Amino acid sequence: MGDHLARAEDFENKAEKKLSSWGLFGSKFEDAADLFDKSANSYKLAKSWDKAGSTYIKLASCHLKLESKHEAAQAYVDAARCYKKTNINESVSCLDNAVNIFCEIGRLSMAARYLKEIAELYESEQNISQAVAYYEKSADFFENEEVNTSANQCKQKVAQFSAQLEQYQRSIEIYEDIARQSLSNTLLKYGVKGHLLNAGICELCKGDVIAITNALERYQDLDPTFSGTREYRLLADIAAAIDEEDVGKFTEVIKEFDSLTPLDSWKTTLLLRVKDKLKAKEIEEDDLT
Amino acid sequence: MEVPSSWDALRKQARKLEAQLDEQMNSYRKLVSNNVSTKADAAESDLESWIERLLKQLQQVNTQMQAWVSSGGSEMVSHTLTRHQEILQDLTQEFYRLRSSLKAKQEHASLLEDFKEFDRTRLDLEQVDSEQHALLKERTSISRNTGHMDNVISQAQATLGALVFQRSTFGGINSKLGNVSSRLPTVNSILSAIKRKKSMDTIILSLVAAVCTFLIFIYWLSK
Repeated sequence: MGDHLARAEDFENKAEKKLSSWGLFGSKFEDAADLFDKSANSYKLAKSWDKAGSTYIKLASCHLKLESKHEAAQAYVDAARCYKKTNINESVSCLDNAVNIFCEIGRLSMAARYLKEIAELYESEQNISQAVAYYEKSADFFENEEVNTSANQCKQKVAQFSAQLEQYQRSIEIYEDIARQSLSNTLLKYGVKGHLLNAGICELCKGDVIAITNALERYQDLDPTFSGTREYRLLADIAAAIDEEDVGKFTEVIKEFDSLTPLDSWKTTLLLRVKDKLKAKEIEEDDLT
Repeated sequence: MEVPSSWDALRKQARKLEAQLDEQMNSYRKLVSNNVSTKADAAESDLESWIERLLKQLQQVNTQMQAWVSSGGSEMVSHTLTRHQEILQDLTQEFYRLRSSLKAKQEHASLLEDFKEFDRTRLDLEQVDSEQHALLKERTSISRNTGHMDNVISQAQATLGALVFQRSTFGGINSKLGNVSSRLPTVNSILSAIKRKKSMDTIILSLVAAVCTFLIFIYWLSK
């Protein structure tokens, strides 16, 4: 441990000296880059993540001066990996730099991959609005490169978090779009009812009964087999319960569905919002009576 | 080596806080696993705020240790600090996870909460349709498995697309290398011509130098 740290500091000092000196033959940036790389590697072996990260950033600067953009971006990615263990904000800014460089040199698929990584970092930090923004960028880039599976995964994340942030219309559009795409693929069409269920739940959260009815008709047009599924029955029964403003019926319907298919926490959260709204309306009506 | 007393005090404090956090996290874990009620318990929120406070204190102690190390600590001390930082990060993440889990459970129970009459009704229905119930359960399981399979298959499809793309890329590289090797005879002849010219230049230079030296020698003799 101590050996690695001493060696790392030695390499770093040599690199700094090389940078400050004037070289007649050869490139000082190239030599400094090599030394910085060795230094950063030794810091990693010593588990000094902050120092390794800062050294990789210096390495990236050297590569930028040498006009080696790909190597510079790779150095930023390595820096982000080191900072991920200690400092999330630094990690995100390094990945941002890497993404910008990859865009300059036209490597959009790699840019998309690292945008997704940024989004995942924000997700783990529970910063949902930023995660949504980066997932959206990532989905755009994946679509540009015709990588539809990854694009759809990012879009589903966007839809999921948008619903949590109460942007239901956006979620609905995304889920319906993914359902439409899945229908044209013979392998994925059996998962369509899941997407339509999610879209339907978002419609329920908006609280507009007419919109729900129209949505259900639209889903039947999209997928004729949907009307025979339990997901459709759940949505239709909940819509009826909302129309009648009957909390008991609402709860019974959900309980029946949940006894066979346990609802995940996302669906639970959204349906709880619907129930609370319904309950509030019922109480209001009782007061009027 | 001798470590100053301020470092010892900080380390003791960090260890004490970590021990307390372990204890409180165990209590919280039990609470989460045993929780059935829908309403937020006073004990729960007390425990949560207590854990949050301990985490903040531990963060402060770690910051002080960091400042101490930055002002010239040794390698062993730096390693110890790294260990403490890792422990803090692990505890924080586990606390977030447990809190999310508890909240999800509470929401789930709250969603299904209802009057007891409907429970009785449901029990009656369940007794009557037990066979149908089992069949529906089976269908749901099959449907879920199908969904997971679809995910895996779509992932495999994407991978196949990427591999095909790679193959076409390598095909392009191969054809370019073929072009280069087909042009290689021309390059070879150019290189050999350059080499020949260079050796002739060398010979000419040598001859000129020799002649000049000889002339200088003759001049020197005649003088």
